[in-house]
Amino acid sequence: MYSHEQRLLRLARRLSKDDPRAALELLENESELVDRLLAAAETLPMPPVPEELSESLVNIMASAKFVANVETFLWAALIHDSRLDRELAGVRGADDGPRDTWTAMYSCSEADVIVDGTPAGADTTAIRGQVLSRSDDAGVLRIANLEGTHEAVINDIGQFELGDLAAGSYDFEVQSDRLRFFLQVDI
Amino acid sequence: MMPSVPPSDNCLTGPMTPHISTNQLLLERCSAGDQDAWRTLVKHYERLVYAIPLREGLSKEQAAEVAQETFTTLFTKLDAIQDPNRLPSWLMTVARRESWRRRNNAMLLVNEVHELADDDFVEQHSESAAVYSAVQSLGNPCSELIFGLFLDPAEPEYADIAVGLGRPVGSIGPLRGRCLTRLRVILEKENVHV
Repeated sequence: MYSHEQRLLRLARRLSKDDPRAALELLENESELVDRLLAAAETLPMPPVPEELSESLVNIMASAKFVANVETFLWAALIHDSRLDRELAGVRGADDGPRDTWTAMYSCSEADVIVDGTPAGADTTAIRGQVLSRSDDAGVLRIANLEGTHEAVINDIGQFELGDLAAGSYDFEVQSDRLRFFLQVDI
Repeated sequence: MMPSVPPSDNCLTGPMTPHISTNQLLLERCSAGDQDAWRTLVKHYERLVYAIPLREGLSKEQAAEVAQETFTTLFTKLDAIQDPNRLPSWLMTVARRESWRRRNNAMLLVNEVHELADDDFVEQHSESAAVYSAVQSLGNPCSELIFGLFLDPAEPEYADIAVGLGRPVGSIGPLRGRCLTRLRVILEKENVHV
């Protein structure tokens, strides 16, 4: 630990390597203020903040505002799944199309969601969907199961698609500017 | 219409606004959801907040967590800061308690920090915080110059400070003089004896 005088001399050397004494004299014009600054530095050293931390601190407000603006958290209920009920008129006839292609419909007070599944590979399924929202359409779809997560953009007419999903039960999270809701989809 | 926040890079000849009123203005603008005001507030105090957990012996990673928690707490309590003049002390107290929580795994209630704002630690460091805060309120290039010269523990070389400011070395001396004069005025207005 340097003494105050040593720190002052070190500062003078930084100001002028060739003539630190002259630099010291310059500092003496503001000696009380300089002393106070050096004392503050000694009492509570303040190293630079890492850039990524600084940016994350700035983003706190934006993140908080986004969450605050999400007004609705809902679970959408399954109202039809062609794999369970292939008789529903207007969705798919009992004998129409391959049986491994399916449609499921979900509904909550703020939106309806239609999800179509088609085989994409030996053991995977591609899905296409449509969000019919009462407020806004564009947003993000995140889906997750024990194996991991996927994300898709919901375009400005409410459509989304994802490919190569392994069989399993997935939690779907639909998030737009003012709406967030969940549904559970078996693929 | 709300008054504008003094820009962080206010010019050397611009109006000198004591950081007390700047704090008040910043808090009001932040409460109104002004992202630019929040950025200015963060830039103003991030070093002070980050320094506390490091001083308490936490790692850089833990210090980053403390800083995030501290500013998150500030954001949720923007309207509860009754005395903007004590914002540095408030931040130091929150950061210190968050540091304790991580170090000792003790469950301390950060919403009671105002009751501890006068504890020994804050008293001991309030002068450093006031000086630091006054330096930050200078805005660039003065705050960067004064910090680099007098407060940065890394003690950067004079030439490196000039490069960082994008100015020739020869201009740093006169700039330093003007910046110190402004700093003196700010500290005198805030009754921090110099």
